[in-house]
Amino acid sequence: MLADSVVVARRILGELKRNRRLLTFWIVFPTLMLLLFGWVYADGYGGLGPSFTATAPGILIGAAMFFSCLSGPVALIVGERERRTLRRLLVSPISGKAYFLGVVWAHLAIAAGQAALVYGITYGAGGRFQGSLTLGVLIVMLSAVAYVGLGFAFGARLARRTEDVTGLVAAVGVPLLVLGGTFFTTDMLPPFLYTVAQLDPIFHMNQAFRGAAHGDFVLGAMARSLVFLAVFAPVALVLGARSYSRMLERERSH
Amino acid sequence: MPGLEARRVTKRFGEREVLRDLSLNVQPGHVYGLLGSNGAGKTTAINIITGLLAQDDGTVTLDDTPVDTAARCVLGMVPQEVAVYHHLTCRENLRFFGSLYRIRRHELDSRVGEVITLCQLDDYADTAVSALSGGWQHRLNLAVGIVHRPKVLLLDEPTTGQDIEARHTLWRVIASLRDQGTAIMLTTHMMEEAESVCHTVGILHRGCIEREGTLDQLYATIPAAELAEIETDDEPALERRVEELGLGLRHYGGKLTILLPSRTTLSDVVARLGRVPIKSLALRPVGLQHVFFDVMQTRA
Repeated sequence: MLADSVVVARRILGELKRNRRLLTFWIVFPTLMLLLFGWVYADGYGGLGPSFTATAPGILIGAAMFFSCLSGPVALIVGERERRTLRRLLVSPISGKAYFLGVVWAHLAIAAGQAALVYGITYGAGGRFQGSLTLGVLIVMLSAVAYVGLGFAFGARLARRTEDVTGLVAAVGVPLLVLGGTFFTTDMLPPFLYTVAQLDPIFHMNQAFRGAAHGDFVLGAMARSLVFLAVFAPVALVLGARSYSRMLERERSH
Repeated sequence: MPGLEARRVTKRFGEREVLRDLSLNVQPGHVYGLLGSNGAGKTTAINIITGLLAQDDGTVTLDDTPVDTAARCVLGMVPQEVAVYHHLTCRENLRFFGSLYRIRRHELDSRVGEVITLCQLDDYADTAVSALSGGWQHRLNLAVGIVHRPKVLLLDEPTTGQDIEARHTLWRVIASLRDQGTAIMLTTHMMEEAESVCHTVGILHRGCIEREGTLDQLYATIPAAELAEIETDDEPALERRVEELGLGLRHYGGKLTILLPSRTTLSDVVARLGRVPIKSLALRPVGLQHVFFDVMQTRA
């Protein structure tokens, strides 16, 4: 199963390499957001370096990985259905689990690439990753897994055509992304919205990664977010796997 | 027996029986053609053979093994639509699908090279699929289905919408695989295709194989040595005259067709029809299309 999943992951990454438009979008989007918000908050944080240090975690987890690791699997599933390659995979010896795992590997690799990009720019602007690198990597991995799980759940249940993907991501995802404090610290949220934001997984991804990146993880709120994420990521993965499994059953009977 | 064997396969969707006691056998080195009009059950049959759909009754074996993950290693499938990754090149697609069948890397490279040559894709091997025309994409679609050298190959209406050159390329590839001992089953609407490549043909109608056999056996089910296709403004007069002559008259594909017991000439047919007004007349040998229409008419 592991070997099959690696084959699937290599295929997804190979397609991404050749799909210049998507690759460019995934590079340009976080780059511009980081440059823009790093600049906007520069005065407030007392310079570009501290501003990039503060802004980078939200841009990586809440913006870059949101679009790659959540909408990526949604688009992938819809694409496999539309191109009829899904049926071809179903008659091959590869298992659904191996395929699912392959998608997870591919998006972990994409998340790693985006992390390198975001922190490359941050270091270039004088910012730093000040906390535990191990913890940071763990949170990026958990967030990627959670996004992929949700992506499978949404893609398998709700998106039937390519047009559905944009609408779904815009209607469900973007409000969660904003509420999760991707582009600003959640201290700015009014009390009611701050309470609601506790239910938003992106809020916890951002909080946990900010804590890890800034080295102030000892604070209780950050620890709570990490615990939330540690529980949420496997739940999202199981939810995604089940939705995908049901979708395969439906696909078989058509 | 190795190859593909389906025994008394039945499938129901709710109250509707879409396949009833379907039995067929495709031996290695043979090509079986499954003919049928839309809704006859061809796609359901294919889906059951590939394991996509579970039958309610009966058994399907591939190379003597019930259809499961292991049996899928010996199965190749060429769907009607081009089902490949458009951002990848032909070679990358072949490598990917070949890898799913656990072929070792060095062997995979050689097999990829072989199918590229067999399907005449050499000039486009490293071109992205999105840059290829439909005909070349169909060749790749075929190549992907055979890269792992399947013992049983299923082709679902493989030449639909393809030009004459692409069709002949596909028939040549089918002949080559057949000669190598692959058991091949194809579904088609095209009689010419079935007559060109199939050893055995089964005509599926409302979920049942109504007629099956070699081409000669099927032709022999039409009680005629030759057929006269005729157009007339006075059909009742034609019917009366044909009855007087003791001949058979059928509507094959909307054409009035007289069943002639022996080979003859146009002038002889005109003379025998006497005063029946004739707009056009043509003599035809018995073909698969006539057998097909005969089944449809008999069962209507």
